[in-house]
Amino acid sequence: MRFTTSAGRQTLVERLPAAPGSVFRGTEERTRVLAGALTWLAGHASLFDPPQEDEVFTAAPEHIVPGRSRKAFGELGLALRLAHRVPALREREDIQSLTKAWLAMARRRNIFFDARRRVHLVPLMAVALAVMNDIDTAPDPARRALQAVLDRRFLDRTERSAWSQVDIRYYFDALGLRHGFPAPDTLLRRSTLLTLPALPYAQRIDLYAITHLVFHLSDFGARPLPGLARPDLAEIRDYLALALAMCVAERDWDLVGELLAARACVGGGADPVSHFAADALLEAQQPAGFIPDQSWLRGLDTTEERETAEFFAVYHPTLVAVIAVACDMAKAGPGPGAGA
Amino acid sequence: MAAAAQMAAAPVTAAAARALDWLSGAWEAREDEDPRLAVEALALSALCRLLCGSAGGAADQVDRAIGRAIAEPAWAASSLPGSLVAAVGALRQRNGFAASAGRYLEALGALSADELDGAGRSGESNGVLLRLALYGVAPSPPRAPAGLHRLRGSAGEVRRFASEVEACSAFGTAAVADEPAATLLEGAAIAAFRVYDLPLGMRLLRAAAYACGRRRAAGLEFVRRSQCDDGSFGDYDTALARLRARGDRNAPLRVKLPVTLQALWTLAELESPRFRLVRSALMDRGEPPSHLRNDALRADPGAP
Repeated sequence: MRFTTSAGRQTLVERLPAAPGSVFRGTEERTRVLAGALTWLAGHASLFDPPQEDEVFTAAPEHIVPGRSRKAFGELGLALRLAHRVPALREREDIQSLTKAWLAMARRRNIFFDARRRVHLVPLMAVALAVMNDIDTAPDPARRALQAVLDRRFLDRTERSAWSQVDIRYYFDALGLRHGFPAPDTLLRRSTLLTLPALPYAQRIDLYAITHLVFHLSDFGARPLPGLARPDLAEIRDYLALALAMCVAERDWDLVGELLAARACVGGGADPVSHFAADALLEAQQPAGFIPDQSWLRGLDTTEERETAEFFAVYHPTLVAVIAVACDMAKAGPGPGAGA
Repeated sequence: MAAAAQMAAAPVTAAAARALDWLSGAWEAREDEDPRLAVEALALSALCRLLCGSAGGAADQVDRAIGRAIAEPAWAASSLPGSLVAAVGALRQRNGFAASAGRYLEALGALSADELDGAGRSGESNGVLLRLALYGVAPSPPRAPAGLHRLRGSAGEVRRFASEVEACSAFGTAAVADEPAATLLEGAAIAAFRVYDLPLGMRLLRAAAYACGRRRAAGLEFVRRSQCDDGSFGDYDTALARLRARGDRNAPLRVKLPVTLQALWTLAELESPRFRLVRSALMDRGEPPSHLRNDALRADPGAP
């Protein structure tokens, strides 16, 4: 594979086709997005470090809320969990190194501390525990603590959107815990997947709801969306394509990554629209490897220390790019010449 | 004209009738005489006449009201599509503006091939539009647009790609069949609607339809639902209030005329792929008048 350099940016001059069914134009494009993102993540792993949970005394346990740091830590874990589903990714040194770093942070920070009272942290604890369950070992005390919270019959009985219930249920299911959330097909019918919001008016949060519903109801592409009639699936696929085209036009790279991943999950997304969007994502990727979000593109808030502000502005689209690659490879296969 | 007649039962027919009502009232309520606005008003009445069919009497009344106020419309000061629709409409109706419109078209007809191509400086489709309007032929056979990468560029690049699609498809009168471009254009159109850039969004939506016969509901519904109670298109209450506060006169006409014209154009073409504005409003008028016959320009320059 050769690249030429134009105005400081590498341009692909030769392409290998991706595996059939890939949302990326070719294996090289997919690999470049992944390698750049992993390089940046490896260089910033320490910034994902969550709080030292057994030293957080500033609020009553019931009042401790997740905050951006715990959220980022959980999302890195989720990306690694999905990468571990793909042998070619699991074997990569950078994935293994990030995995070790993540597990070490989880243990060092005692992330399941006081789970029975820190109820606002329970959903993120479930994510982290599901990650450990898949890539290492889920500690039994943490599992029992989460089950105790669920057995108190409030977490799964409070008023939540279908999106929120689907998200939380997914991780409790992954851990094999008892709960009272409605069945996935029921939640799907209650969700916006069957009453898709009009794109000219939809807010970004509405689109995140759509992608997250797809991710969690399909187990990130490992199973079909439950109880969906064929015309409904066709409508969802068409909607995702148009939403992707819209987000490319808006240079919303976080949602472009989410929608590429969602298209990989529901199938039917290996088309020129996805390839165009993936090419645009690659063009947007910065030399350091991160994918910028809209706030970075507009110029960061300078009231915060530069490195921290940039980290929280770009880590999510960068993780999402890794998730998109992992979902794509799990669905479409590694493609010729792909791998570590 | 046949395609326009087939649209008699289409929702755009009712939308056009309401728009004509708005135009009639808004023209009467104007505060200044503006020859440029007269061109756009004539273009809108011509389009409504096309879309409404039997309701043409109302359009005639609007034309007469404009004629009582404006002696010579500023044909060249308006957008090219609007000017051409208005001028050709005046010739067809043989109304009080026919002589003036004839002179305008005659001046355009005197342009050389190089000058016509130069008309594409702000977008290559202008040259194609002129050739279609003046001679009824596109300058080259339809081809697939090649500049798809422009949709990853600036707003100017996106406009250039839309222009390329307009030119390649001769404003939708020739099929170019490019489904990915159609979806990407429609996505860009919706992105424009989300920041309420209606003219850009509607142009991109039409280009999407030119690139592929298939259409989705999202963009079309947005345009449909942009029609106000008074029949005009676009919710500009805040912008109009600001303009009024600045003492800007004729703001409702100046802001809403071009948007309403574009909206009806877009609705008509999206509701019926057989309707194309250039064909119905510009090309279907028999042989061009003798002063517009220029065999050198009518010939396809791309032909051997």
